[in-house]
Amino acid sequence: MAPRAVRRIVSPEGFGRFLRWLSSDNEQAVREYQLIRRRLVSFFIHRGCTNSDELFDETVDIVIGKIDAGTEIVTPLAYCYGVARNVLRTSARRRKPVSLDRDFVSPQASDTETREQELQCLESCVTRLPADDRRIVTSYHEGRGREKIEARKALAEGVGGLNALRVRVCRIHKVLRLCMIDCLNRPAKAKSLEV
Amino acid sequence: MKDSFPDREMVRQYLLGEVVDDSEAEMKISEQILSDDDLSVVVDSVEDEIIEEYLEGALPESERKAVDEYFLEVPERQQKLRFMRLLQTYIDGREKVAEMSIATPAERQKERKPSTFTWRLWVYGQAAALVALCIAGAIYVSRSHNRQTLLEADLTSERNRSEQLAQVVTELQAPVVSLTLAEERVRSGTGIRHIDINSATERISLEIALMGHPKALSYNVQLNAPQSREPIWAASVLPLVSTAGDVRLKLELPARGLKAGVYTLVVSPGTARPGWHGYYDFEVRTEK
Repeated sequence: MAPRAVRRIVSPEGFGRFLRWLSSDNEQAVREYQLIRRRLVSFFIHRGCTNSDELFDETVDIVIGKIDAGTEIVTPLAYCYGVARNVLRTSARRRKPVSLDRDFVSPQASDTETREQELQCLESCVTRLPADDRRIVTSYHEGRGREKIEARKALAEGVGGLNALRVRVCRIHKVLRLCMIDCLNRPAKAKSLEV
Repeated sequence: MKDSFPDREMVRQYLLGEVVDDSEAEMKISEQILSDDDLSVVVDSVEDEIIEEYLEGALPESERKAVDEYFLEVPERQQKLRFMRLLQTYIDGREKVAEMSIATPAERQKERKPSTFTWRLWVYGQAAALVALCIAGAIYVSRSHNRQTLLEADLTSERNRSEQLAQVVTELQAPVVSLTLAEERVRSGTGIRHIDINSATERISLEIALMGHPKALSYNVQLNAPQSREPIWAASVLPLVSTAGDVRLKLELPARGLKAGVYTLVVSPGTARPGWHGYYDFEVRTEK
């Protein structure tokens, strides 16, 4: 595996200037920052970047430089996006070709205990879903081939179409993933109590 | 999905890196995703779809290659893939359980009904197993009888050892007892705080809430023996001050050597000339 570059960190002073530039009101500035961060990190991820957080920091660094240089900026998000595109281009030039020696499809060689723990957490998370979401997500993934397609069509009728169903399931997946992270990070004692 | 949104196929190509960077289409999608949370969710759902098809082996060769070489480079997507694999395992497991429970009695009977050959094999097999079990049982009983005497001796020795261990555990229990003092000397003699200590108690974890005294940077604490003004222990303690300005002192007193009786803790500011003294009484009760 190639060594990763050292993570860039925006300096506290620079970060403070960036926040003040976003808004003079502290709370509003933080909200704006979180919005810009969420969207730019997603942008980098969607463009296949493995280091989205670093690229975001790099973007903010550049924007801070522009603010310090007195550049007139009207819309922060749009400006940051423009910079992010340039950062992405530079990053793409640095990016090395990917090796093909990985096997993503086969289950990871995680030990049985870990697997069991993950499944227990998942079961607990699925159980905690609202009944309707639970029904949708399990029905969505049940079956194979033609049977699965037909089941999804039937399910889609109840939620406003196939695309609406996919979006709904995607949201449920997200809830489950967050719940899983929470469950797996909890101490073993708390977990067993819940189960 | 809004009309202005790119269709899912376009989003799919975008996510698989098949839309050329800086092309008009790429810029348009990127900008739309950036400014519209709804589209962002659609993109996420297309991402889920790609991962699902990848796991099912349903992707055409070119897309599978793009997923391997580009799409799954992103750690966040690898996590998604692991999650989807786990979810599928979970759902498959549920399905199996459901299939077993919803099979009709006739189906279950059919599954169970053996052929003549299987039936004979089953009967003779059972007979052979029974004979083997009897022989094994006889050997087991014989050996058990011999071992019983040894086991009884072991049991007696184990009981003695358990008793000794229980004794040690008792002695090791609760080396620290806690005591919180908030009221100064109770002149009436009633309501005084007490603690029970035994031979295993090593320390008393003490917390004193100082109220009604000027604050100081540090405090002197001394312990006076019952019926005496002579200190038997003293320390200088830094205070804990809450955001509301409440002052607390936390310290540990050695418990060894303390006898039953009413002790007094005298607290004063840690300045050269103490201006005030606080007196906190507590009773020590000893247990055997």
